[in-house]
Formats: sequence, structure tokens, C-alpha cells
Amino acid sequence: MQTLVIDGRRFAIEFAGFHRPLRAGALIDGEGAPSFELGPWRCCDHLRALRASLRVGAGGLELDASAYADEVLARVDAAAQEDPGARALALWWASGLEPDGRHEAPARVDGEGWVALDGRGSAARLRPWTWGERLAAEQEHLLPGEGFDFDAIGYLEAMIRGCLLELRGPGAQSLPCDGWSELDAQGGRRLLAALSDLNHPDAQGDPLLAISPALAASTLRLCAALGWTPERVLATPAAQVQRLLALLDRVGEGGRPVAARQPVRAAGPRRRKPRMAEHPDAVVILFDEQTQGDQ
Amino acid sequence: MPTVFSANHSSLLIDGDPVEGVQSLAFRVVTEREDIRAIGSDERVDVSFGLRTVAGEVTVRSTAVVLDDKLATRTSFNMVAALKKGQGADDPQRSYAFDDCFVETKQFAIGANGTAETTYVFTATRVREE
Repeated sequence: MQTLVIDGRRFAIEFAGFHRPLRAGALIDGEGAPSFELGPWRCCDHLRALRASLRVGAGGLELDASAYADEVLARVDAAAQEDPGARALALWWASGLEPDGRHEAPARVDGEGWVALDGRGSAARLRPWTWGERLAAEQEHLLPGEGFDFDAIGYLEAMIRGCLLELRGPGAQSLPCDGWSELDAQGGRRLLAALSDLNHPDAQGDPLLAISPALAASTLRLCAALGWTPERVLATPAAQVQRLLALLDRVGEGGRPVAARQPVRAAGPRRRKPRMAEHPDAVVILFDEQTQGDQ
Repeated sequence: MPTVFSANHSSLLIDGDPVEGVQSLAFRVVTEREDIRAIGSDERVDVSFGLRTVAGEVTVRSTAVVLDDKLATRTSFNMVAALKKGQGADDPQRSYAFDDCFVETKQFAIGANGTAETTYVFTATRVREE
């Protein structure tokens, strides 16, 4: 039995993984025993609860945590539901975070698209979805009404169905892809986190969105001239990118050679405009001093 | 090489009034020209001549008030350069008459020895040699 502290309250729990039921009970003065049981919180349960407690407000998506906790506690007996600490425990249970707070690997796909879902060998292979798929999902789940209402849960489910390529259970056992809905709280959380990181990257951590306009213009020049994606440009060695940009400067956007830039020369003596008398076809009449006043 | 006359006894008249201190007068006749091309030939098939004007410069010692007035008022005038080699009646003489002249610009210069001269750039509709 373990002791779990949530929101200042201590609970006695019998935790055997998120795929097994949790027995928990509040500790009072350090005394107590597990008194109620929470069943595994599956991914489909999580999405159902989100649908019931998620709202799209002026500030974006807003979660009614109390309503969500009620969904988690719905199958628990009424006495446990009355416990004020039970809601905090329910939210922890649904979060899928290890009770001992040990650090877990980031929920991010590796080079081959795999992301680990738990410590038992469960994993999922994901792919990023295309702009067209994303637009179709957004369009499909934009519900007309008074203004527009967005079905965020339907959008998430569409993202999962579109991007999940392979699913492995504990011990690397192959599972059907639609088995994602049976993933426990930890697996479901990591699956959704990896998908969000893949398809909706955080702007704070995106190097492309943090660079200056001049560097962004250089990146786009390479993309337009060579047909590369921004990711390929970022992954190319810096020296090679610099050489490519120098070649583009010399060749120009249309592939035509442009004049090499001449070094700025120091201003030399200004040449004066040729006098009329210097023209080869000019007629020049020179008046002598003796002519003045003779006429 | 420009054609140079050294006139020992000459005068420059503007609207009949002599101008003092004239140092030199230079002019050239400028004719617009366009070559006529034809498809299939690498030679011009004809020449089209356009406007013919006279461009010139008059250099005077110090300055010429009459030319300053013509520049300021942008009025036209007639100018005659009467050129004589000597004072005798048999000495060679030549006359250049400039019609409908306008003064366009003037340039003033003063040398290290203190001599000043002004160059007036003018254009004329035609020049007649007599």
C-alpha cells in the first residue's frame, strides 16, 4: 500500500498500474485504509468525460474539472463521491501520472514514428496528418448554430483515427488500431500528447516561428527555389544552406545569372561636360582683343 | 577638328546692339536622324531627318547684361557675328546670323589671375552664313 498526497490530502492507495483497478481511501491523522475502488480509466472514458465537461469559450477550450471528476467517480459508490478529496484523487487517476512522481520520457515520437505508452512495452506508431486532412476534420466538426460550435472531441478522435498506424500492447503484442479506445489513463494521455506534439506543435518551441523575418525569408527562398519543406531546410547542415543561398543570389530567382556585385569604388575626379568648342563639328570663332570697340 | 576663325576685327550684335568683351563664339548644327529599318535586311533602307537646331556658346569677359536679361526673361533674340580679318574694305569678312535665339544657361568662372568670364549657352532655330 502506498501513500499519495494530493492537494494537501493524504490517501492510502493500492496501485498496480493504470490498467488495474485502484483501491483508495482517505487517511485521517495518518490512519485509514482503501475504502473504494476506481476502475481503469480508459481513453474512450476520458474522451466521453471531456465531451461532457469541455466548453469552447472566449479564451479557448475550458475544462469543468468538477464535472470531469464527477464522470470519473460516476461508477464509485455514493459515499465515496461525497468525500471532498475524492474529486482530486479522481482527477489524478484520470491523469495517468505515476503516483511516485518519477520522471517519464517525453511523449514524443522518435525518428520512426513510435512513442512509448507505458512501461510495459505498449507503443504506438503515428504519422503527422496532412493539411488537407486537418482542414477536413475541422470542417466536419465545425457545428453550425448560433455562431459556430466546435466539436473538439470529434476532432481529436478524427486525428487519432487518421494518424495511428500501428498499436502494440504490453510485451510488444500487436493490437488492432481501433484498440486505442481501450488504452488506460497513462497510455491514452501519452497517445494524445504525442499526437498534439506532432500535429499542433507548441509555437514557443518551434524554431521556425522564433526566427527573424530576414531568416524566415531566406528559409522560404530555399523552399520555393528547391521545392523543400521547412523541416528539410532545418535539418540540412548550416554550411550547405549557406552555400545554397549564395548560389541563389548569383543565379537569381528565375535561374538567370545576375551581375556579380562589384565592390564600391571610391569616387574619382568628376569629369566635366565637354565644351562646345571640343565638339569635332563645332565652328569656333575667337575674338581678338583688338576687336573690342572697333565697330 | 572644329573649324576655328580668328577674327581680329569683329563684333557680336544682339538685336542690333554690340556686346562688349566677347571672347569666343562656338556653335554646331544638330540634326535629328533616325535610321529606317526593314525586316529581312541588315542595312537601313532610308534615313529620316528630324529637327535641325543650332546649339552654341558665347564667352564674354566679365558678364553681358543683355544676355543676362534674355536668360531671365526667356525671350528670343537675333544675334549676328560679323567677322572681319582687318579694318580694310578688302579684308575678308564673314557674317553668321542666328535667328530666334534663346539663352538656356550661363556659367561664371574666375581665374587665379583675377580675370572673370561668363559663358552663355544658347540655342537658335537656324544659322545663316553670309
